[in-house]
Amino acid sequence: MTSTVLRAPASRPATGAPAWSARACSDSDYDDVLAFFSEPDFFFRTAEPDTRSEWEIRKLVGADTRLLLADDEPAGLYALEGFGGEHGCHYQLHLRLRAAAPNAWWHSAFEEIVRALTWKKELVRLAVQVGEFDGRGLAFARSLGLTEEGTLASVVRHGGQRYGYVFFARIWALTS
Amino acid sequence: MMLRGYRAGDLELLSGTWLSGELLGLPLPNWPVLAEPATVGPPSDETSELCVAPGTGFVRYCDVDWVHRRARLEIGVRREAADSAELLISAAVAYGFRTLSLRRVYGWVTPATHPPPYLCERAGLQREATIPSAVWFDGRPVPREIWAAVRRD
Repeated sequence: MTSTVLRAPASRPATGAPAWSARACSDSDYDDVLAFFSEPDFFFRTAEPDTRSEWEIRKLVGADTRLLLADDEPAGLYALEGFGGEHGCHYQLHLRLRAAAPNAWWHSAFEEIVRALTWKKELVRLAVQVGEFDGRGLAFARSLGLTEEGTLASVVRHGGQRYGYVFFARIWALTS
Repeated sequence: MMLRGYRAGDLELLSGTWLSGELLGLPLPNWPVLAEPATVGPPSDETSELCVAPGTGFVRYCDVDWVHRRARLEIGVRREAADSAELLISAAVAYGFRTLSLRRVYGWVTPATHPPPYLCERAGLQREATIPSAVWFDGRPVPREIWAAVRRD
């Protein structure tokens, strides 16, 4: 039932955040997905989104990616990658909203993703990597108060220069 | 309430916002909007027995032990049919005893989901044990109870 759209409960989030829902990307969603990647700063698993061709975008999106809908309108993508063993409680989040989305939407989307993840299993470490060139991503991670753990320098090329990835994380205490 | 065999067109009855594996899976009000619904697969072999109540939900006997005639019961109730939960659990227990000829029907009840306890009791089930930290639910490990009905004849 990955294509099911899950509606928000009656109690909508405060502060003007939209009602979020998500579904796997179907073929009929790809017009929206391709439109996301035509934005030059839609850094979802790539440092050069607007010059990627469709086959590469389909590869970047993959089976683990969910289309995020804000009030039923496509607003971005997210994917979670597990690290460690079968249940290492450690995930890396790839989250990208379209350029028109305000910073507050990023916050509420992040918190909804965390709520969904911790509903069914334990989460100890949720990591987010942001390119040094990604002003929107850095603003989101810093304003959300994620712990800034350091920069792995000169690992990615963007716009003719090399940049590092800034590592951010939120860590929860182990329950046992 | 009539139970009938599963058909491909019944697929939507097999998923919903209940805790996976619950004896009486009732739709949970605080289900995170981005969390995938709980889902059971369509029946495909003899290790489980799955029936549906059209428009209401499904009843699944899994881990069926035909020698000792016991099985673990799982029920999923659709949100729009929550009022039919009592009828469904009674039908499920009756089906286990009469049609499957089971001696023991058991399942998981998770108090953190706030199930109405009388629903299981009215269906003839009793609490047998509490297992600490048995399942992860809503950000923490929570206890789970084993409830069962035993046919004495």
